[in-house]
Amino acid sequence: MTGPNDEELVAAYQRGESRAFETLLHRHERGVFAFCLRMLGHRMEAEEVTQESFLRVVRALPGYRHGPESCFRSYLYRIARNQCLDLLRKRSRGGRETPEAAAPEWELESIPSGNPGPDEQAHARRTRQALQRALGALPPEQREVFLLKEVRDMKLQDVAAVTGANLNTVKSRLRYALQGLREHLGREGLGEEAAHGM
Amino acid sequence: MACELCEDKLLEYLYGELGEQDRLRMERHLKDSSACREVLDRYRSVRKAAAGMEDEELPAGLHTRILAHAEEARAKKARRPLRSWLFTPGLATVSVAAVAAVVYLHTVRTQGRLPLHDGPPAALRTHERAPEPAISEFRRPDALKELRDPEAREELFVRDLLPVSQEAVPPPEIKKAEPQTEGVPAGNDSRPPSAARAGSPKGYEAKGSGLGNDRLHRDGMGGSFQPPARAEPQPGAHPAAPVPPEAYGDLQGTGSPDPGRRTVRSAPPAAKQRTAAPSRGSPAPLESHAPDITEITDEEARKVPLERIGQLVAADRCEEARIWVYIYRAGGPALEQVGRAWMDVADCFHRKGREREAADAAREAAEIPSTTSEAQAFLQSLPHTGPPRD
Repeated sequence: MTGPNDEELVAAYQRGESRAFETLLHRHERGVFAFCLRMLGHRMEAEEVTQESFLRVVRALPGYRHGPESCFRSYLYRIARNQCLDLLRKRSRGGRETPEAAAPEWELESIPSGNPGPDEQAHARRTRQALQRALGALPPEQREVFLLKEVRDMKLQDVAAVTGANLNTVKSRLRYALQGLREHLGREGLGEEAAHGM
Repeated sequence: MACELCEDKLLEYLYGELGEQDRLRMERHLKDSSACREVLDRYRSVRKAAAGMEDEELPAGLHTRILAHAEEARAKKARRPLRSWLFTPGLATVSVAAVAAVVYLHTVRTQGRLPLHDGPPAALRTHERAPEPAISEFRRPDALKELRDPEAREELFVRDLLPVSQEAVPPPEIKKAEPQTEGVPAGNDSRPPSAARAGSPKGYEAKGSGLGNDRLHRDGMGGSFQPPARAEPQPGAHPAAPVPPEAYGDLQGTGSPDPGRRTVRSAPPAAKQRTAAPSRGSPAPLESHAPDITEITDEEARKVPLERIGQLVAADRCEEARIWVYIYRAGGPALEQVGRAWMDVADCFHRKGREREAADAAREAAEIPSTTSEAQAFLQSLPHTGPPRD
């Protein structure tokens, strides 16, 4: 990361430099949106939650203080994560279908990495779709831990800060998530292949 | 999990979060433990599959919308007036607590006790400068005892002021007076404002009780006088001239009182609905009997005190008048009438040169919108009275 880090940008915003928030937004908006989309499996809801999360952040920034064991990124994802869980709870109370029952909407939106050939692209897409279905089948607390660790590349300690769980709980959830995903991929004939491809 | 080490450290190893020593130790262990290697391989297969999960393209316009909303929120916060943050929940709580503390301290200072009810202040305190005739009677334990019984209490109320006959009449119906009566246009009054204020146009009018003020005259408190002209009060003015007792004569409702009609009102129904009638600030001798006064019923509070206040003011019995304003107020009348009553009490004290008490009463009136400006003008015209009476 070049330029000022998140905390420096927050401090700049608190001094009245409104452009600092734009930089923070530019830095994190795609990640937050992707996290919300994979948590919720619904593009419109993910968009709303992303927007609301940043608005909450901007309202809270004047009073934000960087703690010794937390950083702005954790703070931002904690807000987004809490809103996702709220939405999921409302969804379950309202009897709406869960993400695993619904066809996840992000499948066609993902951006292939690199410049793979047609076969590789087809395989990557199949794997991605299988993984997304597997993710949708995980309980939210396992799903969020996996997404924050694997996709957002947070340290386990930061995942604990975002989720409000202790480190051992995070590790336990992550283990269950990896096992669950592996089993799901195996049922779709992808797990062994992925493992053998190492 | 295959072993304790992997249970604890395999995930950190998988994600490269182990320190150098732990990492080497884990690698040595994995060479020896096929079961742990198998678990690690399964995890890695998932990671490989997840490696294709890239960030999503943002929905069109989301970035701009967030920025616009953020700027709006920022601007709104910048425009936020002082008043709004003064009343944020935390600050409001502190403010309320501070006000409550000031009121409490003031009350304790002035009345020597915690106000449990919205009642009279230290109306009958022992350090009053000029004991008034009726106070001694009011303080009498037997009088207080009588107050417990509605009938006896009612009789005591009336006995203190009025000539008595046994003719029972309906209790007075208090209504708000018209702003001007008997052909005297508002603003044409040449009398001192206090006298004008003492008249019914200020808001007092009762009818049907037959209550008069003849006893005041007979007892030498009122003398002989003619019914006063009635006129609009002049806001801000406060005369030193006594209020003619007859200014309240029309409180009986039908114009000039009939001197021959002496009545005791039929006792009000013994409705035992307690009012928020005064206990606060009861004088020291009454403090132990404060509940007696609070047992005044709503109906009594509503129907009795208004005219009593006028008569007491007319008789310069300011302390009692002040008590009755509290009692009257407990009956839930129109605030405007309470404000007028407070102003009359203020005038009463002012005439007697008791400026502090006058100021206290005026401050009460100032709390009521309809008399705020008048009370403030009154307070400004007073010599410096210092803080509320203590």
